[in-house]
Amino acid sequence: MVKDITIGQYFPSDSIIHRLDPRVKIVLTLVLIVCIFICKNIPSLLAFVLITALLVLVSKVPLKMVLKSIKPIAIVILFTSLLNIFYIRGGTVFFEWKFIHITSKGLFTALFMAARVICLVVISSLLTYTTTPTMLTDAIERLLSPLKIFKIPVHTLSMMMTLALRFIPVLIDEIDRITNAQKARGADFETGGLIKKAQAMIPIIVPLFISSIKHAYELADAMDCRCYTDGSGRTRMKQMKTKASDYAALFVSLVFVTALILCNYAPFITGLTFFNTVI
Amino acid sequence: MTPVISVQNLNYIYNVGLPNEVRAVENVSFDIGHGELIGLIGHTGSGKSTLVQHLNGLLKPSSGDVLLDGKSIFESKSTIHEAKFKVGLCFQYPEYQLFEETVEKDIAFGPTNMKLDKEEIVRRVVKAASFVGLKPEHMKKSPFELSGGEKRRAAIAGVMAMEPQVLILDEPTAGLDPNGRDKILNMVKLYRDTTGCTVILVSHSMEDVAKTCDKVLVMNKGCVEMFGKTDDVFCRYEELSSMGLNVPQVSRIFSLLKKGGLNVNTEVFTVEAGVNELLKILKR
Ligand SMILES: Nc1ncnc2c1ncn2[C@@H]1O[C@H](COP(=O)(O)OP(=O)(O)O)[C@@H](O)[C@H]1O
Ligand SMILES: [Mg+2]
Repeated sequence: MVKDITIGQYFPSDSIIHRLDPRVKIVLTLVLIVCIFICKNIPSLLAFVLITALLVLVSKVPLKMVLKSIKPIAIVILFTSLLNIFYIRGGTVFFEWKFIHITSKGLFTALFMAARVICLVVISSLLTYTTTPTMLTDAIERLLSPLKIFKIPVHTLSMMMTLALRFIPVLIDEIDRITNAQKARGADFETGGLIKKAQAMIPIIVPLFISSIKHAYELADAMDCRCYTDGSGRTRMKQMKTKASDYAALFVSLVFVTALILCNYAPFITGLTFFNTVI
Repeated sequence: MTPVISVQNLNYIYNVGLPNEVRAVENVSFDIGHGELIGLIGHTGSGKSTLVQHLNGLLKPSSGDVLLDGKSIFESKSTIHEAKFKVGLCFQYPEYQLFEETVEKDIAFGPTNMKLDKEEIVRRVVKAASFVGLKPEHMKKSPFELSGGEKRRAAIAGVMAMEPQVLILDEPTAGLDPNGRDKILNMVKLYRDTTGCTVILVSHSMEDVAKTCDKVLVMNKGCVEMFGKTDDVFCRYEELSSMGLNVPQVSRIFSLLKKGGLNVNTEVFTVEAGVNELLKILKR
């Protein structure tokens, strides 16, 4: 059960995407997410879905793992798509019965919504699959470092983020251990109603809190012992270098984004029937 | 007489089918009789903890079976649940399982899950606390106010209070000072001698096992390598060292004495036995 958590999971491999500068990856991920919402006609949506599929292919992350990241929201997508199909009116009517109307506008809205959400999830999980948590927080720290001018403790924030990610597997292990220990004392987590089940969690949650707090103190002591300070003026063990491939990635994305914007907003293209805005 | 616990061709594999698959227990079979005090030793990672989690039904074997009083534990959901009460398992570092407001309530958690009546629970809690040497003034304290050794003993009392037929302690002395270690070992011995229950003591310390147990089961890389009387097993120094198990220091001193030309008996595993052996020689 707890073992299925995939937050911040990393899939080790050596694809082009794995080797990109994490800062570039974060920026491009954000750009792509914005782009999803630019697409307003079928050709641009199709192009976007293709690009997403291509990225997955190039990243060498197994399709199974990508699908696993969609699984938790599959129900939500299905449900909202159905609502869209049945209730939105406009365009050609295909089917009508009592309160149910299936229209072209409803179908397109559902299609766009589903495609957008899926692409959004796939692209953002691709970022965590191809970047180790430490690289990610390191990169976020660099990207946010201009905020230091406003006296925002960027380094401290990113350190907190790194530690939080670092402790997810530790806590999962701990939950397993404590659960087994209480089961050995005859604790029953399966039977009973909602209230009884919630009460049954107390013997797990209390020791978990206690040990988390203990971990925090121990870690703080260990950091003090090694004279940890907030990191101003500290040099890095791993330097981040923007390479030729990073510039290439940025350039390709720029072309892609420009093309998308033109397809959706330039009157001389959107005027063509092929690029009819449908949503 | 049927053995209390009979393990038959037990296999357990973690992460089946994944790249990080581990065969933690491989084809293990043995019988444990009533009232025996067994030491289960093996190097870290040899599969001791995995094995004992099968004995109370916490892990389901990949193949093989565990019989409790001649009946399979894994027959149905209810037999698995019952096994938890018949075979009390106290995990490594059990102090992390404490959660109640008072030590008393925490020790009572197991018996309460057994749905016993109030008086019986109180009787068991008092008895278990006295076994582990917790004083009445400890009982109303929060378990988090106790010292490390006391926490450990309170947690062990929590399992003892279920009065299981078989008590399993997984590395109960790990991380304790010599004084705390001796306290726990004496307590284990006393518990077996007064209740007559079967006890399995898991450890990687040969000294601990030599001091306490009648029989020893040696595990290496998921397999049972030796099973027999403590003295018989400990005689096989070389094999044990090759499994990464350190023979008790006294035994090593005596084998060195023998090599040095002193005519001593090398079958010495505890400090007391060593003292007696030396006295014998001095008198000669
Ligand atoms: N929850 C688990 N998941 C995967 N592998 C495990 C798990 N627990 C133990 N193992 C592996 O099984 C083997 C035996 O471990 P364990 O039974 O804990 O040994 P011991 O108690 O003798 O130190 C080890 O190789 C360990 O890495
Ligand atoms: Mg162990």
